Amino acid sequence: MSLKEYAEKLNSADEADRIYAAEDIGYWNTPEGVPVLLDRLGKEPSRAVRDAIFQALIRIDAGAAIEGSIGLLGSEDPQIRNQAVDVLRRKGARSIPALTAVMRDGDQDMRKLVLDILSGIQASGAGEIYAAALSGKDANVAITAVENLGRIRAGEFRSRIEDLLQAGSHPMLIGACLEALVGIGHESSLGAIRRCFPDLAALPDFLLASYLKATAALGSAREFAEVASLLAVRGPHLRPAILSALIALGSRCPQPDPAGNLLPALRALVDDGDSPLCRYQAVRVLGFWAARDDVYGFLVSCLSSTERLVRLGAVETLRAAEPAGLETVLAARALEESDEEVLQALSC
Amino acid sequence: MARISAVETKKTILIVDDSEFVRSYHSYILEQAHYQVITAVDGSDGLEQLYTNPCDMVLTDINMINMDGYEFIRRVRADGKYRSLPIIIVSTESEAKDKMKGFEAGANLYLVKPSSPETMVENIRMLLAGD
Amino acid sequence: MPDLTVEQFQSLSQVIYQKLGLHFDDKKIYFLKTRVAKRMAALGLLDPKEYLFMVRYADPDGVEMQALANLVTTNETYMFREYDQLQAFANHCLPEVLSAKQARGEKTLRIWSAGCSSGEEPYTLAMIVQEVFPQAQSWDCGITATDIDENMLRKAAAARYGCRSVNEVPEEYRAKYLIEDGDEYVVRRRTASLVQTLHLNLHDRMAMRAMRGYDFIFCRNVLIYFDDLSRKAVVDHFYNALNRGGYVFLGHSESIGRVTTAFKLKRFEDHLVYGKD
Repeated sequence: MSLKEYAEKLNSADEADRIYAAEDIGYWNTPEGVPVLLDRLGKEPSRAVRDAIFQALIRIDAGAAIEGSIGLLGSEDPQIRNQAVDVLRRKGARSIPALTAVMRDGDQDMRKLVLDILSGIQASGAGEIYAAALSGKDANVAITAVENLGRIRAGEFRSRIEDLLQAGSHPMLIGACLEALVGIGHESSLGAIRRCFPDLAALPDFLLASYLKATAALGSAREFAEVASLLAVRGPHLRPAILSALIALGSRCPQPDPAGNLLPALRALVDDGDSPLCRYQAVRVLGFWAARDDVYGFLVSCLSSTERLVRLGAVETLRAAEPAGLETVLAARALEESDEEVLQALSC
Repeated sequence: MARISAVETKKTILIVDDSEFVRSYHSYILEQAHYQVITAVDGSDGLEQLYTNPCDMVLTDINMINMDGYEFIRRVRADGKYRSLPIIIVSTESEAKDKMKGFEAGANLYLVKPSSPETMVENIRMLLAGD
Repeated sequence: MPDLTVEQFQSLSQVIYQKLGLHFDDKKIYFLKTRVAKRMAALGLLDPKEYLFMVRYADPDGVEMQALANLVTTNETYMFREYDQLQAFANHCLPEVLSAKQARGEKTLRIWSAGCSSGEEPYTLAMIVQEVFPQAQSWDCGITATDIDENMLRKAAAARYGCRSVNEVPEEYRAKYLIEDGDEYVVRRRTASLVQTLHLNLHDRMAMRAMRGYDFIFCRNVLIYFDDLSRKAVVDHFYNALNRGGYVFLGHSESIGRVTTAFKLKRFEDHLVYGKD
């Protein structure tokens, strides 16, 4: 079939025919197919056919597919705009030159879409786009840029991101910066973070969660006590974030100080926690004190908990502690255990 | 294992957004305001979550791959069961024409991202109280 | 074993959900951790952060996702697998489609079991059809069981199974639809005759286009092993192969909504199903 014939089929009254035509044009993989597809896209009412057109644009290797998709970013139709984002993401680094131009010349919404596209691309060459995003006035563009930079581990932007951690920045941007520093921060980043948040008690939940992630990634034994103290005062929905941070920080201490009510609080969470995952995390934190008789005894009792994640957590935690006689204890438990996964953990 | 009734009266809000960070950030804002939160990665996931878990309100983004916010809202409204479910759009698009589109699709409110936590919570409270 | 934090587990679940359409909830943290540990060992990675980065940005052809998919799914096949989903089919979707056809005066029913392997699924469907719809004999009913593997298709055509395959068959069905023969079970001819085997490669788009006019398509635990683009192509063909009012079933923890939005989500009691309007 010639392109003309495919184009005709693409305008068939039959939806299936149009889907097949789009598919065939995609497999044909020539730049001439692009304008044919785009022309149909403008008047195509069926979602399924539009999808097939986008699949075809993904398959066509030529630059025309990139240019064509760039042109769709300004569409009034959100399906078209966003599927164009998908196509451009899949083209990877080859999209970057065209995206740089859009970043320069496009409006606010287009610039945001550029950053959305980049969130799926990890390649060099986008530095100019990111620099523009971080110095621009648009918070959304900056936020998406920061998110991306953290995930693609663009360490060269670390100090720029630390600079954004200041009172004038939008809280959402501050949160994004904290999350990014989880990926690309240095120990020294902690200093920048603390300068921004001298008083943890005043930190709203939506920033505390990100702060805790950053502390977990960058902090050390020094931060353990302060994070532990949050367990008693902050809402239950923050417990997973606090416990995660404690697990990370505790692993960097020889034996963290279980100040105040921490151990009883953790035991209470294991017994009664809001979710199986939270209870599992609490078991893991208790593991830092497994050398103490009372904690060891408690952990062994966790092996018979009705909650399987607690049993799993107990096995993992006890194994990590390597107390004497552990194998005997685990073997005895294996005789009573019916859950396949827990059994697997017991017999490792 | 009795839970106090305050927990039972918590409203559940579904957050639909393709950004992991935005879902997390908005979740904490809502949880601090004593709402329960469920999340979805796009409109398609949002429909599955909605059909699986009873929700009192939906907060949705617009620009998402696979299924955008307008299509999601249209499909929600097409189901008689959800004709009066409060839906708030939370989007980066700030033009008046975008807001019109949102209301035409069936949303109740349109908030521009990034919204302040106070504004967000205030609008949610207002919309839920109007129920 | 490298420690996967709760956040890493949640991020990885998201990536897996988006790339494979597989859903892992919180309960699966240990399960995923052990599988990821195997993959990390194979790749020589020490930190889960590296693995997460890799699957997000350094796996363009989905090769690593496939390797992970092979570890997180079980390949075993047996009759009445994923019973919950079959209930939705038997109690809601099938009666609905049959009523609509009766109202229109149509007397055909076509079901496609795509990637049928050794045939346990199509025979399961045959049993359900005969159970829910005893008049099936007087209608033009057919179940097309396709697979790329000729050996599997031969096994399917033989309709003869060991205990492991029939373990989950409800008691009442066993006597009605299977014949015991030593330590094997044979599907009764009356039921087996509903099933036709056919060699088909889901990647062969021309062959796929020939599949039209189905009321139900089952493709369970098959598409996980396909890359993004191929999976989408297959599902697009399913859309065309399905009659209006028909339903498509992927595996219980696979979501078709990840692949396409062309189908409409419906709810029947506790079950979510996808259909073509």
